[in-house]
Amino acid sequence: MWNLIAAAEMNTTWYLLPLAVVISLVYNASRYEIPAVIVTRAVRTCITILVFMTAVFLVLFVLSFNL
Amino acid sequence: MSDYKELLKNPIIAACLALIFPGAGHLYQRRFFKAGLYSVCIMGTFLYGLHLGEWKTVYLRWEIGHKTVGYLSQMMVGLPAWITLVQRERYEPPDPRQRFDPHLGTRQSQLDSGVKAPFRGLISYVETDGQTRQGEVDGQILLENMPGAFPGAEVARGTFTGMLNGEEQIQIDVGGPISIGPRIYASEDISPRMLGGEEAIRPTFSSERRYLQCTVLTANGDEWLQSGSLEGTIPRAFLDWFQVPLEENAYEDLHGRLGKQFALALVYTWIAGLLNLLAVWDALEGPAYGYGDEPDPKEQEKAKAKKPGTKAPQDRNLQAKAEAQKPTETADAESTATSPKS
Repeated sequence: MWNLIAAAEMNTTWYLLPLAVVISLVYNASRYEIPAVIVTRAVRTCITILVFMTAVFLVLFVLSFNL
Repeated sequence: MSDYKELLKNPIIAACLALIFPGAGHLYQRRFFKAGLYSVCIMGTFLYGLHLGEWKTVYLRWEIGHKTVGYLSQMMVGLPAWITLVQRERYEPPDPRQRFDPHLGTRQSQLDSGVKAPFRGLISYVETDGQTRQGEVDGQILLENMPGAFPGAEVARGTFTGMLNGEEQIQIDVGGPISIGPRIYASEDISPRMLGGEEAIRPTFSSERRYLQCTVLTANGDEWLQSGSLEGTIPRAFLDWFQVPLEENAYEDLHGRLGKQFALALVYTWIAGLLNLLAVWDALEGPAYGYGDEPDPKEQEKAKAKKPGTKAPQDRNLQAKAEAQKPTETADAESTATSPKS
């Protein structure tokens, strides 16, 4: 039962991955013109977003541990 | 570095095009990479959001208790989201009182000129020899509208031709007062209310199907007798339900079935709209931080600092400030020297 709930939660989290990629690409495309620069910066932005989100996830996970 | 004016062509036209369809403005400016990127990313996000929400996440309702505020963001995607403005006009009935069926609790459309469509559903009727026939049917229904035949109800006459329980070909006369789902409708309860038995307890919502119920007629000399009932669904065209405002019960059904997925679907479509704002601004003003081929100021400073005999701009600034302060300091010293001691 709880495993199923955990799996469902994970699935919801995965939906944020393509969103982070798209946001990074469009944001950097509106900032730079050269394709190589856009892609490089987008990769950097995407990693930043994911690291930040992972950090928030870990904090919330620790805070909600055993609740 | 290219010339901005040359790149942006007519920025107003480009911005308008970008607002109408993601990437169209950049296509006009011949910025093909960006046109493709914006188009794929924004439309991809928007369509994926629609897909996650069973293509019912974008619609406009602005009534007390049901306001789709998120549409203000979705509409920034452009034409793909503006369809709902047309659908809202098509959906609004001219006189809601005439089209509200208190028995079904939903707005009912009129038959227009008639119905000729594939039909599937349930049937139960008594034949002339007294034998009861019932089961599932799948076939073709043809109904012609008879306006004014029975005041206050839609009356039709026609035939049903098809298979009963998948094994017997039947052709029967149908008609009488009919109950039919609205033509322009986002999601409708199509559960069989008369012949469904236990199935009718739980509503089944559908966009692609349209509820239809009519009477089976049997000829008795010159008269037509009601001998049973035919209940089922006929198809509804994609453009008759896509981005049409959702009814409250259909909205609750979607939320209940999809849960978080529906919320995520909404978020996807909202973000697509907001991202297109960036694209519109880029078409109007060009890239915010420049082209990306400018030398990095930090690296420039480092390179200058490494060269012997040159000072970094920060150092030069400090030096200039110090030089500017020197005359005032000497003047102060002179004034203190000449002033009488207290």
